[in-house]
Amino acid sequence: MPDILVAADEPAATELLHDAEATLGTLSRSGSGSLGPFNANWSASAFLAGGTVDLIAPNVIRLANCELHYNLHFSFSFDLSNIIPDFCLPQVCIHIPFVGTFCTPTFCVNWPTITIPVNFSDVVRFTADFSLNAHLSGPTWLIDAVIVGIPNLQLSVAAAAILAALGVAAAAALAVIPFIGPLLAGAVLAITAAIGIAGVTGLLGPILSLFVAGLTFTIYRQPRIFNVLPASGALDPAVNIRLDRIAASVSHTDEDELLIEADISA
Amino acid sequence: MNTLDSRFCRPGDTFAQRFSEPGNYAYDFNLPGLPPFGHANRYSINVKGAFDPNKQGKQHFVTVRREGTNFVADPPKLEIETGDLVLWSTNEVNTSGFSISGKSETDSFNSGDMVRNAVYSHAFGSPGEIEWLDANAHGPAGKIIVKMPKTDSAKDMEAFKETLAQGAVIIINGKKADKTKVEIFVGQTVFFAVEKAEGIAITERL
Repeated sequence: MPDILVAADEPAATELLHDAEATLGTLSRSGSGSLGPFNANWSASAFLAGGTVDLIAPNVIRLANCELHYNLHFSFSFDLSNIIPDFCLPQVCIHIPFVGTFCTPTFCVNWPTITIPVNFSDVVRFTADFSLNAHLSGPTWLIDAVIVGIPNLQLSVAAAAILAALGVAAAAALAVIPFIGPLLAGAVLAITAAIGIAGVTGLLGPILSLFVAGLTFTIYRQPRIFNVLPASGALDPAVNIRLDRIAASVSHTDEDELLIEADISA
Repeated sequence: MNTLDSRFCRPGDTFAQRFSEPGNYAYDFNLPGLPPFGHANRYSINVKGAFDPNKQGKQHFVTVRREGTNFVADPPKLEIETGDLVLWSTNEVNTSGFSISGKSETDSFNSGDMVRNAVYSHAFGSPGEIEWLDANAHGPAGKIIVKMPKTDSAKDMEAFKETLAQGAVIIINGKKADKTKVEIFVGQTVFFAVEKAEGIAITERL
C-alpha cells in the first residue's frame, strides 16, 4: 500500500493534459525536403490544443481529437526553362516608307530561375496513445505521458489546399516575368502537376511528424524533497518530506482513473 | 526588365538607322547624358556611295553583348552603301540598357535623340495601358494598349503565335505621331519610326 495515492478521473486527466499542452507552448522547426521534383526550404511552428482523454488500463492515456495548429512557410526555386518550353518572338518584318523594308531578329526568351514562396496555416486533428513514465529528473519527480508511435495524420485535405495556395503563389511569382502572360496558365498547371498532392504530402507529412514524434507531456511535476513545515526558529527546523518513489498507472474499477502513487520518508 | 525606353535598349528592343549620307561614322554605347562606356567610338560604319531615296537598301545586323563593364558590337566595323539600314539588338537578358550614338563629320545618330530615318522597336512583354512620350519633350505622345491574347487551346496559341510576326508602326514627323492609340497583344512589337524631328527619345510616362 503506497503512502500517498491520488486518483484522477477522465475529465480531470483531460484537464491535466490541456495544462500540459499549454505548458509545451509553440514549437518551431526548420529544414529542407522534397516537394515533388523540387527541393524546398521550410520553417514551421505548431502548438497543440484540445483533445479528450480516454484512460485505458493498465498504462495508456488515449488523447482523441487533439488539434495540431501549424503554420508552414516554404519556398522552392527552379529554372523555369525546365518546366515550360522556350518562347521565341519571331522575326517581324515591316515596311516604313522612308526607311524601306526591314526585319527584327528572332528573339528567344530565356526563362529565369524563379523562387516561389508559400505560407499556409491549418489545423490537423489526430488521436494518439500515450504511455506513462514516472521518473526522477535531478531533484524533481516527473510523470510524463509519452506518445506511442507516430499517429496517422490525415493530410489529404491540407495537401490539396496547399497545392491550391502554391498555384496562386506560382501565378504571382510568374506574372512579373515579361512575355509569360500567354503561357502563365500552362506554366502554373505544369508546376502544380509536377508536384501533385503526393509531392505536397511528401513534404508536409515529415514536417508535421516532427511535432508529434516523441511528443511528451509532463502532466505532473514535484520536487523530490518538499517542505511540509517551514523553520520557525533556531531550535525548530523545517520539516521536509522526501518522495522516495512515484508511480503512475491507469486503473479500471467502477470507472477509469489515472492513479499516482507515492512513498515518502522523513 | 521590359521597359519602353529608346535610351535603354534591352532584349526585345531594337534600334535601326538608315544612313543617307556617306561618311565614316564612329559610334559607341552609352547612357544618356553620360560619356560612352569604356573607350569612346570604338566601332565604325563606313558609308559609301550616293544616296538614292527610291532604292531599297540592304539591312545589316549588329549584335550587342556585354563583356565585363563594356558593351561590345558584333561586327565592330561595317562597310555599307548609302540607303542601307543598320539594326542593333541584344539577346542578353541580364544586360543593363544601353543607347547607341555615333557621328561622322557631317551627320550623327542617337537612339536617345532620334532625328531622321531612325526606328526604335519594342516588344511588349506584359498586358496593360502604356502611355508613351518623348523624353526630350518635343511633343509626340500616345498610348499603347497591350491585351492578353486568348490562349485556352492549342488553336488559340497557334493563332497568337501568328500575331507575333505582325508589328505596329507609329510614324513620328515633327512634333506629331501619326497614331495616338495602338492596340496590340502581349509579345507584339511596336516600331517608333522617326522620319524627321528635333530629337526624340521614346519612353514611358511614369
